[in-house]
Amino acid sequence: MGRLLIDTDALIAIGNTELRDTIFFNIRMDTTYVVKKELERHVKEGKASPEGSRDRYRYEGSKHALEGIEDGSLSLVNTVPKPHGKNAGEESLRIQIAQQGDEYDAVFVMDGDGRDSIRKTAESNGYGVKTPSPAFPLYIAYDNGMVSKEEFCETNQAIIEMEGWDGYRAISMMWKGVPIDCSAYVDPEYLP
Amino acid sequence: MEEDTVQFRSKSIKEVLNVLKEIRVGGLNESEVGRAAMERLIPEILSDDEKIELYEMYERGEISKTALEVALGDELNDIEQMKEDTSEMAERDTSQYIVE
Repeated sequence: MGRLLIDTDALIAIGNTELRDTIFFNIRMDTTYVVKKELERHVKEGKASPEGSRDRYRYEGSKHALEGIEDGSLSLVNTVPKPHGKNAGEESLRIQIAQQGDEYDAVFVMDGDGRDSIRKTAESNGYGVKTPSPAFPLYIAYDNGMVSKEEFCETNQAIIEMEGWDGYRAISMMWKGVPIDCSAYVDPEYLP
Repeated sequence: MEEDTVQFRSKSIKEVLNVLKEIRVGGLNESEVGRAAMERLIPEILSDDEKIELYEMYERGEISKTALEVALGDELNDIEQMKEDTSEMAERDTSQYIVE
C-alpha cells in the first residue's frame, strides 16, 4: 500500500475548506514533525490576528490540520537531520523522500519550487514518487464516495479564491487530470 | 511596421556594456544579453493575477506556448508535470489511501 506525504501549506489550504474533516479523518497521509512544528507556530502566532487576514487563514488551517494529526488520519514521521529556517517543512518532506521515497506514491506540496526539489530528489534516487495537484486529496474523497461532485467542485473554487496563483494552478491542473466536469458548479470565470 | 526594438539602456548600463565589448574576448552580443535579462526578469515581475490571466489567454489560444514559456519560466514545466502526475494518480485505485 503506497503512502502519501503532505506539506504545511497544502494542509493549511485544505484545512480552510468545508471538507477538511472528511480529508483529515479519513485519508491516510503522512507529514513530518517539522511540519507539525510549523502548524503549531501558525496557531500560536495567528491566535489574535484579525478575521480575513493571512495570519488568521494560517491559524484556522493549521488548527484543523493539528486535529487531524491528534485524532484523525494524519501520521507523523521523523526526519533526520531536522531542517531549520524558512522552508524547513518542505525540506523535511524532501529528506523523507530521499530516505524512504520507495514507499511513497505521491507528495502534496503547494509551492512550485518545493515540488521541483522533491521531484529532483525522487528522480535522482530512482523513485517513482508523483507530485500531483496538492488539492488531490479532495479527489480521493470524491472518488471514494465521501463527498458529492457539487461539494468537490465548490471546494475547488474556494481554494482558487483563497490561494491565488498557487491555488489556481493546483485546481486548474487537477481539473485537467481527473475525470470530473465542474462546469455546472463553478463560477465561469474560474473555468478553463 | 511594428517597432520591435526595446530601448532600455540607461547611460550607466551603456557604459558597462561598452567596456565589456572592449575587454571581453570575442566581444559581447548586446541583444543576447538583453534578451536573456528580460527572460529571467519577466517571470519574477509578474503578479499572481497576471500569471493567471496569461495562462487563461494561452488556454483560449490568444498567446503562443513559447510566449507562455517566457512568461512563466520554470513554472510551466512544474504545471505540466503536476497535470501529468494528477492524471496518473487519478487512474489508480484510491481506496488504498482511505483508513480502514
